[in-house]
Amino acid sequence: MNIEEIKKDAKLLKFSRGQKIYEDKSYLSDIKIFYILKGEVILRKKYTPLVKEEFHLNEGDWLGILELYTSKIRITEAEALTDVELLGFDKITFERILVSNIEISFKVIRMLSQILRKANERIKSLPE
Amino acid sequence: MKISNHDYDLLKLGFEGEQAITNELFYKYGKTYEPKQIIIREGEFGKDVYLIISGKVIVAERLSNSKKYKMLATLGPGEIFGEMALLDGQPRSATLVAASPCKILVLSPENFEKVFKTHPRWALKILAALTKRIQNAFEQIESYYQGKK
Repeated sequence: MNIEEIKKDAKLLKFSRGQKIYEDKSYLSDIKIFYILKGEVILRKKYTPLVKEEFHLNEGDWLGILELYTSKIRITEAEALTDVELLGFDKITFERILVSNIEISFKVIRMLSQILRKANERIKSLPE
Repeated sequence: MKISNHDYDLLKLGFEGEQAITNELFYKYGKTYEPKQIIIREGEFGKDVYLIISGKVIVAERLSNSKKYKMLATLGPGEIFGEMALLDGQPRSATLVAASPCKILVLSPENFEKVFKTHPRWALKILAALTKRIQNAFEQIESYYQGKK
Protein backbone atom coordinates (compact mmCIF):
# COMPACT_ATOMS: atom_id res chain seq x y z
CA MET A 1 0.00 0.00 0.00
CA ASN A 2 1.31 3.43 -0.89
CA ILE A 3 0.76 5.67 2.14
CA GLU A 4 1.45 8.83 0.17
CA GLU A 5 -1.32 7.88 -2.20
CA ILE A 6 -3.97 7.62 0.53
CA LYS A 7 -2.58 10.56 2.52
CA LYS A 8 -3.76 13.05 -0.04
CA ASP A 9 -7.41 12.16 0.65
CA ALA A 10 -7.02 12.15 4.41
CA LYS A 11 -7.08 14.55 7.30
CA LEU A 12 -4.01 14.33 9.55
CA LEU A 13 -4.98 14.13 13.22
CA LYS A 14 -2.77 14.08 16.31
CA PHE A 15 -3.63 12.82 19.79
CA SER A 16 -1.57 12.78 22.95
CA ARG A 17 -1.07 9.72 25.11
CA GLY A 18 -4.22 9.01 27.13
CA GLN A 19 -6.44 11.19 24.96
CA LYS A 20 -9.70 9.73 23.66
CA ILE A 21 -9.88 9.52 19.87
CA TYR A 22 -13.58 8.88 20.15
CA GLU A 23 -15.92 8.09 23.03
CA ASP A 24 -18.42 5.26 23.35
CA LYS A 25 -21.95 6.41 22.44
CA SER A 26 -20.71 9.56 20.71
CA TYR A 27 -22.22 10.43 17.33
CA LEU A 28 -20.19 9.61 14.25
CA SER A 29 -18.63 12.63 12.60
CA ASP A 30 -17.86 12.97 8.89
CA ILE A 31 -14.44 11.53 9.62
CA LYS A 32 -15.40 8.02 10.64
CA ILE A 33 -12.40 5.84 9.87
CA PHE A 34 -8.82 6.22 11.06
CA TYR A 35 -5.54 4.77 9.86
CA ILE A 36 -2.73 4.65 12.45
CA LEU A 37 0.27 6.38 10.96
CA LYS A 38 2.29 6.49 14.19
CA GLY A 39 1.78 5.21 17.71
CA GLU A 40 -0.51 2.73 19.45
CA VAL A 41 -4.22 2.78 20.20
CA ILE A 42 -6.50 0.78 22.50
CA LEU A 43 -9.91 -0.03 21.07
CA ARG A 44 -12.20 -0.79 24.00
CA LYS A 45 -15.66 -2.36 24.19
CA LYS A 46 -17.30 -1.87 27.58
CA TYR A 47 -20.09 -4.35 28.31
CA THR A 48 -20.54 -2.95 31.80
CA PRO A 49 -18.46 -0.44 33.76
CA LEU A 50 -16.40 -3.39 34.98
CA VAL A 51 -16.45 -5.84 32.08
CA LYS A 52 -14.65 -4.90 28.91
CA GLU A 53 -12.79 -6.22 25.90
CA GLU A 54 -9.65 -4.48 24.66
CA PHE A 55 -7.94 -4.66 21.30
CA HIS A 56 -4.42 -3.33 20.92
CA LEU A 57 -3.88 -1.56 17.59
CA ASN A 58 -0.55 -0.52 16.07
CA GLU A 59 0.85 1.41 13.16
CA GLY A 60 -0.80 0.30 9.96
CA ASP A 61 -4.05 -0.75 11.68
CA TRP A 62 -7.45 0.79 11.06
CA LEU A 63 -10.09 1.82 13.58
CA GLY A 64 -13.63 3.13 13.51
CA ILE A 65 -14.90 0.47 11.13
CA LEU A 66 -17.20 -1.33 13.57
CA GLU A 67 -19.79 1.41 13.38
CA LEU A 68 -19.46 2.17 9.68
CA TYR A 69 -22.41 0.10 8.45
CA THR A 70 -24.39 -0.54 11.59
CA SER A 71 -24.71 2.49 13.75
CA LYS A 72 -24.85 6.25 13.99
CA ILE A 73 -23.18 6.20 17.36
CA ARG A 74 -19.94 4.62 18.48
CA ILE A 75 -20.24 1.23 20.17
CA THR A 76 -16.59 1.27 21.26
CA GLU A 77 -14.12 3.84 22.49
CA ALA A 78 -10.62 4.45 21.20
CA GLU A 79 -7.80 5.83 23.33
CA ALA A 80 -4.27 6.83 22.40
CA LEU A 81 -1.87 4.54 24.24
CA THR A 82 1.07 6.65 23.07
CA ASP A 83 1.21 9.93 21.19
CA VAL A 84 -0.42 9.05 17.89
CA GLU A 85 -0.79 10.39 14.39
CA LEU A 86 -3.84 9.26 12.46
CA LEU A 87 -5.18 9.69 8.98
CA GLY A 88 -8.93 10.32 9.09
CA PHE A 89 -11.26 9.35 6.25
CA ASP A 90 -14.91 9.69 5.42
CA LYS A 91 -16.88 6.59 4.41
CA ILE A 92 -16.80 7.19 0.66
CA THR A 93 -13.04 7.73 0.57
CA PHE A 94 -12.44 4.70 2.77
CA GLU A 95 -14.54 2.49 0.50
CA ARG A 96 -12.71 3.79 -2.54
CA ILE A 97 -9.40 2.91 -0.87
CA LEU A 98 -10.66 -0.57 -0.03
CA VAL A 99 -11.88 -1.27 -3.52
CA SER A 100 -8.59 -0.19 -5.06
CA ASN A 101 -6.29 -1.88 -2.49
CA ILE A 102 -7.07 -5.54 -1.96
CA GLU A 103 -4.37 -5.88 0.71
CA ILE A 104 -6.13 -3.24 2.82
CA SER A 105 -9.45 -5.08 2.36
CA PHE A 106 -7.89 -8.31 3.58
CA LYS A 107 -6.19 -6.62 6.52
CA VAL A 108 -9.44 -5.01 7.65
CA ILE A 109 -11.46 -8.21 7.20
CA ARG A 110 -8.82 -10.17 9.13
CA MET A 111 -8.93 -7.63 11.97
CA LEU A 112 -12.74 -7.76 12.15
CA SER A 113 -12.62 -11.53 12.03
CA GLN A 114 -10.34 -11.55 15.09
CA ILE A 115 -12.67 -9.21 16.98
CA LEU A 116 -15.62 -11.46 16.17
CA ARG A 117 -13.70 -14.56 17.28
CA LYS A 118 -12.85 -12.88 20.58
CA ALA A 119 -16.46 -11.82 21.16
CA ASN A 120 -17.69 -15.32 20.31
CA GLU A 121 -15.17 -16.87 22.70
CA ARG A 122 -16.57 -14.68 25.46
CA ILE A 123 -20.13 -15.73 24.58
CA LYS A 124 -19.14 -19.40 24.68
CA SER A 125 -17.60 -18.89 28.11
CA LEU A 126 -20.80 -17.41 29.57
CA PRO A 127 -22.92 -19.91 31.51
CA GLU A 128 -26.42 -20.71 30.21
CA MET B 1 -23.81 -19.71 26.57
CA LYS B 2 -24.76 -20.42 22.98
CA ILE B 3 -23.62 -18.03 20.27
CA SER B 4 -26.55 -16.72 18.31
CA ASN B 5 -24.29 -14.81 16.00
CA HIS B 6 -22.06 -17.63 14.88
CA ASP B 7 -19.42 -18.09 12.22
CA TYR B 8 -22.03 -20.00 10.29
CA ASP B 9 -24.26 -16.96 10.41
CA LEU B 10 -23.33 -16.61 6.83
CA LEU B 11 -22.99 -13.64 4.65
CA LYS B 12 -25.63 -12.97 2.08
CA LEU B 13 -23.59 -11.11 -0.41
CA GLY B 14 -26.38 -10.47 -2.85
CA PHE B 15 -24.54 -11.65 -5.92
CA GLU B 16 -27.76 -11.90 -7.85
CA GLY B 17 -27.55 -9.72 -10.89
CA GLU B 18 -23.81 -9.35 -10.64
CA GLN B 19 -21.45 -10.65 -13.24
CA ALA B 20 -19.36 -12.34 -10.58
CA ILE B 21 -20.98 -15.74 -10.68
CA THR B 22 -20.49 -16.75 -14.22
CA ASN B 23 -20.04 -19.97 -16.07
CA GLU B 24 -16.40 -19.08 -16.43
CA LEU B 25 -15.93 -18.88 -12.64
CA PHE B 26 -17.72 -22.17 -12.15
CA TYR B 27 -15.63 -23.79 -14.85
CA LYS B 28 -12.50 -22.67 -13.00
CA TYR B 29 -13.46 -23.10 -9.36
CA GLY B 30 -16.77 -24.92 -9.23
CA LYS B 31 -17.64 -28.23 -7.59
CA THR B 32 -20.89 -30.15 -7.52
CA TYR B 33 -22.11 -31.90 -4.38
CA GLU B 34 -24.72 -34.65 -4.11
CA PRO B 35 -27.43 -34.61 -1.45
CA LYS B 36 -26.09 -35.65 1.98
CA GLN B 37 -22.50 -35.08 0.89
CA ILE B 38 -20.44 -33.33 3.58
CA ILE B 39 -18.82 -30.14 2.32
CA ILE B 40 -16.92 -29.14 5.45
CA ARG B 41 -16.66 -30.71 8.88
CA GLU B 42 -16.74 -28.93 12.22
CA GLY B 43 -13.31 -28.85 13.85
CA GLU B 44 -11.36 -29.47 10.66
CA PHE B 45 -8.78 -27.03 9.43
CA GLY B 46 -9.22 -25.69 5.94
CA LYS B 47 -8.68 -22.45 4.17
CA ASP B 48 -11.13 -22.69 1.28
CA VAL B 49 -14.05 -20.31 1.11
CA TYR B 50 -17.33 -21.51 -0.41
CA LEU B 51 -19.86 -19.63 -2.48
CA ILE B 52 -23.17 -21.32 -3.29
CA ILE B 53 -24.30 -20.93 -6.88
CA SER B 54 -27.26 -23.29 -6.76
CA GLY B 55 -28.82 -25.77 -4.36
CA LYS B 56 -29.35 -25.87 -0.63
CA VAL B 57 -26.79 -26.49 2.10
CA ILE B 58 -27.55 -27.46 5.71
CA VAL B 59 -25.48 -26.01 8.54
CA ALA B 60 -25.24 -28.41 11.47
CA GLU B 61 -23.48 -28.54 14.81
CA ARG B 62 -22.46 -31.78 16.48
CA LEU B 63 -24.07 -32.30 19.87
CA SER B 64 -21.44 -32.73 22.56
CA ASN B 65 -20.61 -36.35 23.45
CA SER B 66 -22.88 -37.61 20.70
CA LYS B 67 -22.79 -38.66 17.07
CA LYS B 68 -25.95 -36.67 16.47
CA TYR B 69 -26.10 -33.32 14.75
CA LYS B 70 -28.38 -30.39 15.33
CA MET B 71 -29.51 -28.48 12.24
CA LEU B 72 -28.90 -24.76 12.61
CA ALA B 73 -29.63 -23.17 9.26
CA THR B 74 -30.19 -23.74 5.56
CA LEU B 75 -28.23 -21.80 2.99
CA GLY B 76 -28.98 -21.05 -0.60
CA PRO B 77 -27.61 -19.39 -3.71
CA GLY B 78 -25.52 -16.27 -3.21
CA GLU B 79 -24.41 -17.21 0.29
CA ILE B 80 -20.79 -17.60 1.30
CA PHE B 81 -19.24 -19.62 4.10
CA GLY B 82 -15.81 -20.49 5.43
CA GLU B 83 -14.45 -16.99 5.06
CA MET B 84 -13.26 -16.77 8.66
CA ALA B 85 -11.05 -19.86 8.43
CA LEU B 86 -9.62 -18.45 5.24
CA LEU B 87 -8.66 -15.25 6.97
CA ASP B 88 -7.57 -16.35 10.42
CA GLY B 89 -6.74 -20.03 10.04
CA GLN B 90 -9.01 -21.22 12.86
CA PRO B 91 -10.88 -24.56 12.65
CA ARG B 92 -14.32 -24.78 11.09
CA SER B 93 -17.09 -23.97 13.53
CA ALA B 94 -19.86 -26.05 11.91
CA THR B 95 -20.51 -28.94 9.55
CA LEU B 96 -22.05 -28.17 6.17
CA VAL B 97 -23.94 -30.80 4.21
CA ALA B 98 -25.54 -30.60 0.77
CA ALA B 99 -29.33 -30.83 1.12
CA SER B 100 -29.88 -31.02 -2.63
CA PRO B 101 -27.62 -31.18 -5.67
CA CYS B 102 -25.38 -28.15 -5.23
CA LYS B 103 -23.07 -26.11 -7.40
CA ILE B 104 -20.51 -24.32 -5.27
CA LEU B 105 -17.44 -22.21 -5.96
CA VAL B 106 -14.59 -23.52 -3.81
CA LEU B 107 -11.91 -20.89 -3.57
CA SER B 108 -8.43 -21.37 -2.17
CA PRO B 109 -6.87 -18.28 -0.56
CA GLU B 110 -5.03 -17.59 -3.80
CA ASN B 111 -8.13 -17.95 -5.95
CA PHE B 112 -10.22 -15.99 -3.46
CA GLU B 113 -7.71 -13.18 -3.86
CA LYS B 114 -7.84 -13.48 -7.63
CA VAL B 115 -11.64 -13.30 -7.65
CA PHE B 116 -11.50 -10.39 -5.20
CA LYS B 117 -9.19 -8.52 -7.52
CA THR B 118 -11.70 -8.98 -10.30
CA HIS B 119 -14.65 -8.10 -8.05
CA PRO B 120 -13.22 -5.77 -5.40
CA ARG B 121 -16.61 -4.56 -4.22
CA TRP B 122 -17.20 -7.98 -2.62
CA ALA B 123 -14.94 -6.70 0.18
CA LEU B 124 -17.49 -4.04 1.12
CA LYS B 125 -20.25 -6.63 1.40
CA ILE B 126 -18.16 -8.92 3.57
CA LEU B 127 -17.13 -5.95 5.70
CA ALA B 128 -20.73 -4.85 6.22
CA ALA B 129 -21.79 -8.38 7.15
CA LEU B 130 -18.87 -8.84 9.57
CA THR B 131 -19.53 -5.55 11.37
CA LYS B 132 -23.18 -6.53 11.74
CA ARG B 133 -22.18 -9.87 13.25
CA ILE B 134 -19.78 -8.17 15.66
CA GLN B 135 -22.47 -5.74 16.75
CA ASN B 136 -24.88 -8.65 17.32
CA ALA B 137 -22.24 -10.44 19.38
CA PHE B 138 -21.63 -7.34 21.49
CA GLU B 139 -25.38 -6.93 22.05
CA GLN B 140 -25.69 -10.57 23.10
CA ILE B 141 -22.91 -10.16 25.66
CA GLU B 142 -24.36 -6.87 26.93
CA SER B 143 -27.79 -8.46 27.31
CA TYR B 144 -26.27 -11.29 29.31
CA TYR B 145 -24.56 -8.94 31.75
CA GLN B 146 -27.59 -6.68 32.00
CA GLY B 147 -29.72 -9.72 32.82
CA LYS B 148 -27.31 -10.62 35.57
CA LYS B 149 -27.74 -7.28 37.31
